[in-house]
Amino acid sequence: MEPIKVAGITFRLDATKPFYEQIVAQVCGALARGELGLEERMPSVRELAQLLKVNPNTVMRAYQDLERSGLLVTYRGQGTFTTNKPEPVERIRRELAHGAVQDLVGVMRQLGLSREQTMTLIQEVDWE
Amino acid sequence: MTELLRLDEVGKSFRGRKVVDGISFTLRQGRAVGLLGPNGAGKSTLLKIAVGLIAADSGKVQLFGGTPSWRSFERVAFLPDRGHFTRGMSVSEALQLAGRLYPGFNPGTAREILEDARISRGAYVNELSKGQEARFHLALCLARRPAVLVLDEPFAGLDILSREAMVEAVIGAIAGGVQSVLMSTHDVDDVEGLFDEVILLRDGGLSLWDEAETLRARYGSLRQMYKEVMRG
Repeated sequence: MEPIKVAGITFRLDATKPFYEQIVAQVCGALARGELGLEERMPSVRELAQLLKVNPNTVMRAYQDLERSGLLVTYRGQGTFTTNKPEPVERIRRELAHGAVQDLVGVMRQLGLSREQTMTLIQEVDWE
Repeated sequence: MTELLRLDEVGKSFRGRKVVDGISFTLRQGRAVGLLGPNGAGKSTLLKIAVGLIAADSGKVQLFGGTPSWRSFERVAFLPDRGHFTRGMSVSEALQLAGRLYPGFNPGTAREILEDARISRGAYVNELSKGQEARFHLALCLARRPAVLVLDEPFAGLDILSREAMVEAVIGAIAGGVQSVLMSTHDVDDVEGLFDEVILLRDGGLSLWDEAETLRARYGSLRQMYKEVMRG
C-alpha cells in the first residue's frame, strides 16, 4: 500500500502482516530515529484509522500497546502524545540497534565470515 | 461482549436451490465483520435474512436478542446493493423523506457527507455519478446513527477514489459510535484493514470465520486467504 505521512511518521502498511504490529513498529521506528519527537501530538484514533484505512480497533490496540511501553501517553480530553521522557525512547533505539546488529551477524555467518573478519569490515567501512 | 446479531443454522432455498445452507455466526458489539465470497455465494440473501427483510426457511435469527421486527429496524441501517427508495427523487426530497421515515435521523450527519462528496441538494438522485450515489445512500444510512450498519457490496462498480471515500466514511462511523458493521464484498483489495473478523461464504455455506489479523498472519493477506480457500 502507498506510504502515508502523518505527524512525522511515514506509515507503510503491508497487507501480508498484522496491521496492529506494523503500526506499533513504525511508530517505534519514527521515535527511535527522531522523526517523531518527544511530547508531540499523535493523530486521534479516528484520524489515523481513516488515513490508514484500517479499523479503529486496530489503531486503538496499537496505541494501547505503545502506552504500555511508555512511548505514548493519553490525557483525557486532550488526546494522545508521545512521551516527555527520553528513557523509553532510548530503550527502543537500543532494541532496534540490537536487532539490526543481530541481522548483520546472521548475514555475515551465512556468508561464512568470522567475527574477526566482520569486525575488520566494520572498522574499515565508511560511516559517512 | 454483547451479541447484537446471532444466526443459528440458517437456511434458505429459492426454486429448489439452496442459496443459504445452514449458516451460523454472531456479530458482537464493537466489531466490524466482513462477509466475503464470490458473486452468487449467498451473501445478499444472508444479509437480508439477518436484517429481517426476508424470512429464513430454517434456523433462527436473533437481532438485539429478539426476532427481527419493526422495533429492531430502528437500530439497523441496511444499504442494499440495488433497489433504493430514492428513485426519481431529488437529493433534498430524499433527505426529507428519510427524515420522516427514520426516527432519530440526523440531517447534519448527512449534510457533512453530501458536502464532502460535492452533492448538491437540488440534484436528482439518478443524475448523480455512481460514486456520488453510493456515498449519498451511505450518508442516509449513517445519518440514522444506527447501532448496526449492514452494507451489501457497497463498493461494487465504484472508482478507486469513491471506494476510498466510502471506506473512510465507514471507518469514521465505527469511530463515531456505530456499534457493529456487517459488510459483504467480493473484492478484498480495499478492505484489507477494515474488518475485525472475516466470514468466507462459498456455495451458500460458511467455509471460514476468524479474526482478520489471525488470517493475515496465517495466509499472508486476506486476498491470499481468499484465493487459497476458494481454490482449495
